[in-house]
Amino acid sequence: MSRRNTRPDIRPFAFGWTSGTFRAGLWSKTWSLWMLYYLVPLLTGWLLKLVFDALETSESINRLLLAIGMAEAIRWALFGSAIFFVVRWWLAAITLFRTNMLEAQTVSGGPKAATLPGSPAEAITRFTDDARDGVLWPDSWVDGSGVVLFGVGALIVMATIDARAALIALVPLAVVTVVTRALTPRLHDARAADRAAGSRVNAFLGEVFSGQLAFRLAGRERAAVVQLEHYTAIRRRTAVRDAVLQQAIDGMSSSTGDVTIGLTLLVLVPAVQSGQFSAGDMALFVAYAVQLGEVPRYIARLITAREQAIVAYGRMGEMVAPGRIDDLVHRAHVTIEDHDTPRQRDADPVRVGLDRLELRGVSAVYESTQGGVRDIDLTIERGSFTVITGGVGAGKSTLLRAMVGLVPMSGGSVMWNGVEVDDIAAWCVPPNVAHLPQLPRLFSESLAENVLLGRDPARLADVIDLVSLGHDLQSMPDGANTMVGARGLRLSGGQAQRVATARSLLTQPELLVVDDLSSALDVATERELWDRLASLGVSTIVAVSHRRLALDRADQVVTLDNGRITDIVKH
Amino acid sequence: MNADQWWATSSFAPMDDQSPWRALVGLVTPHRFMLTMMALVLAASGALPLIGPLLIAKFIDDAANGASSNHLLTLAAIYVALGLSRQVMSVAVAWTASDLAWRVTNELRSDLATHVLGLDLAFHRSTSPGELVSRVDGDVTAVSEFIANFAVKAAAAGVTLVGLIMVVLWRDWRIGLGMALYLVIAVGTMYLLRNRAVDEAAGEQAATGRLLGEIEERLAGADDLRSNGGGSHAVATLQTASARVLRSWLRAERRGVGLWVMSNAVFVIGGLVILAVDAAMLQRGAITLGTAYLVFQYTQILREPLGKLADETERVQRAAGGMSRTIKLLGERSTIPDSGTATLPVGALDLDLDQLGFEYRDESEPTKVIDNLTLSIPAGTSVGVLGRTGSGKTTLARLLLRLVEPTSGTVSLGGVALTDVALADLRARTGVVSQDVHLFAASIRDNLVLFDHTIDDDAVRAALDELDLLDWVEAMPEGLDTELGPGGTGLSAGEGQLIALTRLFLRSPDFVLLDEASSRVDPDTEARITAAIDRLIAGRTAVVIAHRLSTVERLDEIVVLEDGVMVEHGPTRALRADPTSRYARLLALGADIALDEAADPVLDRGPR
Repeated sequence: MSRRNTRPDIRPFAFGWTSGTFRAGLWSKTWSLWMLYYLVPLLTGWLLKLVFDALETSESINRLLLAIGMAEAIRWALFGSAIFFVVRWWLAAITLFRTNMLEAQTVSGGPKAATLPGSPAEAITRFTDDARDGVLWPDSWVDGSGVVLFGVGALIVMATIDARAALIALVPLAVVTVVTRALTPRLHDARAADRAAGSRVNAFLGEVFSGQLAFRLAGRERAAVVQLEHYTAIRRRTAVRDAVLQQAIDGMSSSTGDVTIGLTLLVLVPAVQSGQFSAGDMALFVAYAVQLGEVPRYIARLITAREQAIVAYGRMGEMVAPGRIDDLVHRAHVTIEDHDTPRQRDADPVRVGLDRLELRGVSAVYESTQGGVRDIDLTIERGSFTVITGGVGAGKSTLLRAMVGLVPMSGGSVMWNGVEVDDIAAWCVPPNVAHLPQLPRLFSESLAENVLLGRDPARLADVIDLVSLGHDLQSMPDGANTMVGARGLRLSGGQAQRVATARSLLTQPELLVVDDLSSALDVATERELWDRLASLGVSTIVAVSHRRLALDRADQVVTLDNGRITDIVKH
Repeated sequence: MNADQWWATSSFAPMDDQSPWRALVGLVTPHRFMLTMMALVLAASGALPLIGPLLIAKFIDDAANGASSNHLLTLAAIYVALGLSRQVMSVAVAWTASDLAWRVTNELRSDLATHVLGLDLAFHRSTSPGELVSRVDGDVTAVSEFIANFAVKAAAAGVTLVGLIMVVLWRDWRIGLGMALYLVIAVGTMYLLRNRAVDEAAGEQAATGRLLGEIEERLAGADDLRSNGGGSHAVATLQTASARVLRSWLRAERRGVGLWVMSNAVFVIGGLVILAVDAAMLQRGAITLGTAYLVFQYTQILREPLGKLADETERVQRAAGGMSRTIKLLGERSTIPDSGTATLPVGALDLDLDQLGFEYRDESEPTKVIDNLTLSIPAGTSVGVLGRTGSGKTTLARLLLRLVEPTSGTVSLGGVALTDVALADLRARTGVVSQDVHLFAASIRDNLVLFDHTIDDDAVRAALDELDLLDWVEAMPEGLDTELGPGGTGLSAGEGQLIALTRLFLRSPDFVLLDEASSRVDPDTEARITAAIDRLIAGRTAVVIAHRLSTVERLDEIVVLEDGVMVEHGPTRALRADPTSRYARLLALGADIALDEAADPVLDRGPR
């Protein structure tokens, strides 16, 4: 009764196997140690039988007790070593998913590049819950096979003592396995209904509290509470249903054990009376039956894990490029252990000196709003300063973003020294092109790392000086190594903008593309920046600006309106 | 009934300094019948695990004594029935416990929601709706999970534990005493180990939280990374953060394994010691083989429930935290005391302001927002209030609605000071349409009646008809059943005003306060709003905070505020005729100008 996988490109077994064998050594150690761990109770059960047989005949049991103690100690040792392999394997596998997703989201062009399906906050669940479910699936094979192997072994041992009793022990096992499989989808439905009811309660509470004044001023607080009670009553019923189904499945483990014991006792009565079945055999049967009761639960867990994995692979697959879901389990270089060789940042593309950049009939249109730019023809000569201006919504930022491949072009071409650029996002990165957005993002690492993004620090001091950050650094406790806090919030807005500016200048790009700086820099600082850029040799610049100081300096001023160029003035 | 009255009659009235656990007991005890049911089911399900080993012991002993096969078959059959009833009982426990837990906590949710709705503007401005949701639902859910999962399991384990000691004492008092000692050690060990495990997990959770924060940040800044070739660096930082998670996780496991071995050792060593004792007692003939088996098996059956309880101790802390925060929230008091007992006279109400003053006192220099305002508006008269941003209109509106208390002077309606009127009566007799109409993600009907389902559709239609809005609503895809999206998406701002006007009209208050919307509205809706307002204020005392001169033209009187002082008051007609009046001078500028460019929503926000 497992649900059908409706996505043929999601191959749960292949994906599970690839993420499992991603650290094959750790996984095989994990697997073999856990198997042994699950098999030890076969031995202790047998030793227990010997103990009770010895008690029946008044023999000494000291050695047997010692043996049980040793068997348990072995089990602890197996657990103690397996757990470390599991943790290392688990984290490597989950990091593989996370790496591949983040790489697809942040790579500059190429076939692997993908865009975010929703908000960053929502996408985080793909890095947590979905990545976990993706790893839980191969992980469940380990436990599942261990428990099943124990079950087979236990039934064989029981059969050597009494074949009929062993056979009858299979009956509750089979029944419960079927019932559990039948109940599991209903449990999932009940859980989904409960979650839906829960979020309705939450959503309504949110409405009530944000609209509290409306209720209070109308004297309708009571009505709001009555409506809340309607929703909480529904949630109570869904929650109870969920709890009952969950317990019906969980409780079957212990009740299966008891029913198995009862049924075997029924068929064993003649053997017991004839003395063929000893008290020791009884102890063994009880010990095994209790453990056998767990088998159906593990089988159910396997089924659930598979279903959840299919959902998780689907959701994680939305983070990688469309039609390339296999990228998700691509064996990326993952370095999380001390002995791993550190991951090197990818090399920047080879610098190709810019003589002339041409945009020929470039269009980039947002599907949702139909806003964007259309039929842009623009030539940018080496050493020229181009200013783009126009009203709100004219398409200025979109044009810049299209030039660096952040917005896909729906038509036209970009020529670098007369040669068409086929992958703009991959080509237009430092040291060829650097983009400085209007609201640049910083990350929670050191100020220096935010500038370098993993590049060689040789020019760090120069660019910091260039953007007038030197003075700010003196007041920071660790200078350039000061941590800037989440999203760079420990810096002032102006400081953050200057850090981002330093980032874009680090490689002395052939072309610098700058969005409106006026919200972050005052006139004096902006003028200083343009002056210094000229002296640095970063001379080819495209900037969005309305400021006189930029327009005065411009070699050409491009005016955009409603996504089209209306005017180009050359000086 | 007003907010505080429901509060007094609610099932749960805590003291401010009450312990969370006492409060929890106070919540549960009124449900005597369900509690009794649950106790019975619990007792049964706690006792059932004890029966199995007893049956086996009897089976072993009776078989050794040559009992008939019928007797043995009966024992075996009882065992099968035992397994089935364990299943039934465990489901019954889950059922009763979760039902009780959710019933009890749903009451608490209602009480909390009621209480929060009764708190004043200052509280609501300092606490975000999201935070309130997590207090009213999140914290309380921690409590219900505690009841349904931890408390019930603990109670069942307790029953098993006590029953077990009693059975063994009855079999052999010496072993019974030994067993009691052993259980004290076992439970004590689990108790000691419980907090450690939680502490160890905290470090790993912190590292994981940091990792996820970094990922989110980089997804949000993905464009900057892409266009600056920073993708591979971002991946490298992800892996550095993951390496940190691995280190803290391994550190946690290193100690966790020790704890796990210790708790296991308690049971294994206990079992082995019992077996050794069994052997000695058997040899002396003090016990039977069956009893020897029983005692051994009893050392094993507590392993699972105690282990599970130890795993869930986190719930205890979460529930205690949730309950403490709940009690704190219930301790919040409104600064607008509902101590009045008077009721407003029947019919339209006079409005009198007597030397009304309001100032902010929490600053070193008190700022007067309303200064010595005395004004009488006869019943049934409409008055427009004009003034720039910061002139005190917002505060005046709040004072008229008793959302804030004046620092001096009084507001009276129908000759009764607002502080003397019971809040419920005040709310029933007054009404307001604010600029920012709050629309709910619900049907048009619910938006009109504010979820009060005692108002039937006929009344709603009649009100709509009287405001000439019935055709407007019936033109919607599903009429009154049309569902609005979150924040009322599907309606324009002007249509939101129409909803608010109908809301007000349905309640037929005798004093209305309208805060005119300053947003632009299409001409058709504008006409509807104007007509509806005229219909609404006819025969009622009305104060209109106007943002357009065209609005006040149709009102009886005009008040002009400047820096909290009334600088002009008079009949509209007279002021229009007097070319020296401020109103006439404003009119000369053009009838349709917006009075304040940055319109300030009067009710929901304001200065600070």
